[in-house]
Amino acid sequence: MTLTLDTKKLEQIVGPENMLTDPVDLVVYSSDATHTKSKPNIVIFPTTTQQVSDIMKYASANRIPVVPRGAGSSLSGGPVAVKGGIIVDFTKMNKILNVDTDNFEVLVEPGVVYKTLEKKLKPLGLFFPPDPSSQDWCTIGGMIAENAGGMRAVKYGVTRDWVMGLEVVLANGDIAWFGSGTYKFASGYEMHRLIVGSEGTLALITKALLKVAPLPEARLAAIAYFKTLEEAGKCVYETIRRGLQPSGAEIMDRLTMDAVSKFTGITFPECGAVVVNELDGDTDSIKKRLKILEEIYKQHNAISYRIAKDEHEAEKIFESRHAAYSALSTYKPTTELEDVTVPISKVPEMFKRIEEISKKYGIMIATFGHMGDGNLHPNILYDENIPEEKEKAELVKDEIFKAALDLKGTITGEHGVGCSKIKFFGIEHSPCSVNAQKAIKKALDPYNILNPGKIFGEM
Amino acid sequence: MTVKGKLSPKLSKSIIEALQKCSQCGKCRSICPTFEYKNIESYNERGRLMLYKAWNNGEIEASPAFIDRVYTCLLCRVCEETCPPKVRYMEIAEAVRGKLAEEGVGPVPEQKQAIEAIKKTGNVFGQESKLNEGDLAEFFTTAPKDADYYFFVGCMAGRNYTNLAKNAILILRKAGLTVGLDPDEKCCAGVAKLQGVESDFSKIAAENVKHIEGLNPKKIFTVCPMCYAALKKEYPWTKHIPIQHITEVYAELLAKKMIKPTRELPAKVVFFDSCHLGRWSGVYDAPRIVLNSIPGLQIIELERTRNLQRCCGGPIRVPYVDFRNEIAGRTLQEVEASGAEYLVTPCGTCLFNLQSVASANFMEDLKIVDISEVLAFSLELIDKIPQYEFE
Repeated sequence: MTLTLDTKKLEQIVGPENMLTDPVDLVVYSSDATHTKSKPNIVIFPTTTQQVSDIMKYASANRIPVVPRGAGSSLSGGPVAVKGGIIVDFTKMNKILNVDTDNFEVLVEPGVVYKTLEKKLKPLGLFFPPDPSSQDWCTIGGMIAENAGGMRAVKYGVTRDWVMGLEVVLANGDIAWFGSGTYKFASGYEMHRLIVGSEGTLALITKALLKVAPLPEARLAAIAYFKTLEEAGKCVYETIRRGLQPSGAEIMDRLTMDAVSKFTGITFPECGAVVVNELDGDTDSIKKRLKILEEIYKQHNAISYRIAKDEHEAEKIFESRHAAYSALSTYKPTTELEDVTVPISKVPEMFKRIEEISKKYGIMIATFGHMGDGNLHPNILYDENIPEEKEKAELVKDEIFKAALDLKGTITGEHGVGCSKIKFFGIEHSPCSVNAQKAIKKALDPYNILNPGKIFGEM
Repeated sequence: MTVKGKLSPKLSKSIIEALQKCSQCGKCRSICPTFEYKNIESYNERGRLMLYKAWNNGEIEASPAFIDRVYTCLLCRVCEETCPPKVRYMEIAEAVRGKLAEEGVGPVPEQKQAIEAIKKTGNVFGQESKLNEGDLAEFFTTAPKDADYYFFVGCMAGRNYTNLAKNAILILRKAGLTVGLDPDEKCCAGVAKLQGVESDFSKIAAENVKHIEGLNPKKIFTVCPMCYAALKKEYPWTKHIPIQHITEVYAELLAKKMIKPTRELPAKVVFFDSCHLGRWSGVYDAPRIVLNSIPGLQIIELERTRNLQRCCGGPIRVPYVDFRNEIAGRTLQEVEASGAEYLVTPCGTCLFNLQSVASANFMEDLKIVDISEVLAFSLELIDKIPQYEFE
């Protein structure tokens, strides 16, 4: 990428201590949690909204790509500068600006790490419900840009549901506020909700007003084993239908269990699927719902199940599910983690299709995920050093996406399109839909400098 | 300093495989002390692994910036504790350092000097004197073969912080045990191992094994966690000789009621888990048993304790003193905020570095002490702690 960049100009904006140009740093900022690689020309760390605005004015005048980045934990290539340019690392804009306990709102800068916010809120009896598994290190800005989900999304929804307003810097450097400090809002477009999940392609987020919730009095975890994925699926469906409002309804298939066993030593009984549930709320209500949950487990022929007696046991129960991603990432030389999502009634069918695809190509696919909201994580396991396997893995991926779309699902539930699913974006959305979305992009970013090459590919 | 990258891979197949286990999730961002300080991705495990890969395949050179990222790693191993795919980081880092040493671009000159000093004089400080010619002369009363324990004193306690050694000997004597020292003791060479100079380390380790086995000791203890880890985990022993860290010896003596701390120390105390005692060797409980045996003493466990303890920064003090200051400074602030009066270490290096930084920051109210000092005080063997005051 031959881009002429006036580093002196950028240095004037952020100061020499807030920029990186050494090849050693550029190599490291060329990737995220995927293996997509592309080097930026420079990495800068703004500390104020005004600096971000000045950066955008410069970039806009010179048509230089700008790619926002938080902790680089994205699973879709989001913060990778595929067209080179400037990476704007927001981790130095990391202040919690206000905690408004009277209105259950917090105002934060985008570089605040989820865990830092959680620590601040906990003593106040509050929490920010979206809970991606990267919560120890991911930033709020990154969560908003990718519309991150998590295990509790089945009850609490995803990041978008908790963003009330955003301060953003537009492509031309203008600073705008979208949204409102009120729960109800009917005054014009909900631009803040459009920015959520826009993967840095529409504007740069410089402040976020978030809704927070009171911490539930208690949380309870349970684990149940089923002979088949279908039975497990029906069981999860029933917990939702009967109003148990689980704050977690996770599933793992046999291959995932085997990988977890190998990785952690945790053992599982002979079974085809395991479901991990969480119930939260006041103690009396949990007791009542637990009784129904046990009934449902029995009705759906659970081989066995276990209810955690305390927090420590709950942690143990969730340990296996938490280890799934890591266990699978080391199971074979290459692992590709997808996040297709289907309507919840279609989850068992989606599992069936994944199994068929796996058999058809002779490629291992281990699946775990958030069954309660239909968000599954098929992991394609292969060795990219073997050309034949690599080719097959591509076909497998194609078929998984097609199956999800065929079941009226989506190619991504919580990771974003980034640069890894561009091909399928045009399959999921009709040309008219894509054109309308592109029109919005063009209106807000006429020179295509905000994270170019993402979602749509070429404009 | 810059070496042109070669196209042939520099690292072995098994190390390259270990490198590929990194899923680049970024969790190490939440735990790496050097990243905490710099907030730049090339200063954490994920970033460093990406650099090792790029260097291995010739994409980048061993430039000054590369050397900086390689050798500012503390090798504290805290990233290994939380790494989801359990990347064997230390093994990889040592291999990279080994290759850089082979190519003549590593270790950094100051560390090279330390290794040369060990080779020349048998101690890391380059002192020409023997161990029985200094502060510890009066303790050379029993030959190692005749004593209950052979005490491998180490450079720090042998030549610098000699009270660390004296207190240990006094406590063991109080329990009715004899301690043998060796005037010809040579450095464990753990420093060479850390710097990836494997050839020097294995040569010295082999010589030490031969020499120590020749002393015919019944049991060995060390006060220095780095000596302990080297002797216990790395040395090619041909005889079975039990090796313990002094805190394990104390815990045993307490269990057998051979010592009984009586003097009260009514204070809140934070115990500082040294990297080499904790993460390298898995010794977490023994020092806590010791502290809990002291009347009036109350241990406070901070969020980063045991296997998540933040390194003192000591391993990279030379030449990266700013890193040491920031890293130790963070821990000291947390300790101060906890209301603890004492910070107790099991390691001379941690003691020195934490004290230096506390002193530079005028934290006069926080007393930083060695665990043997605390025990010796409660056993009424010494009357005043801390023995090492701020300068």
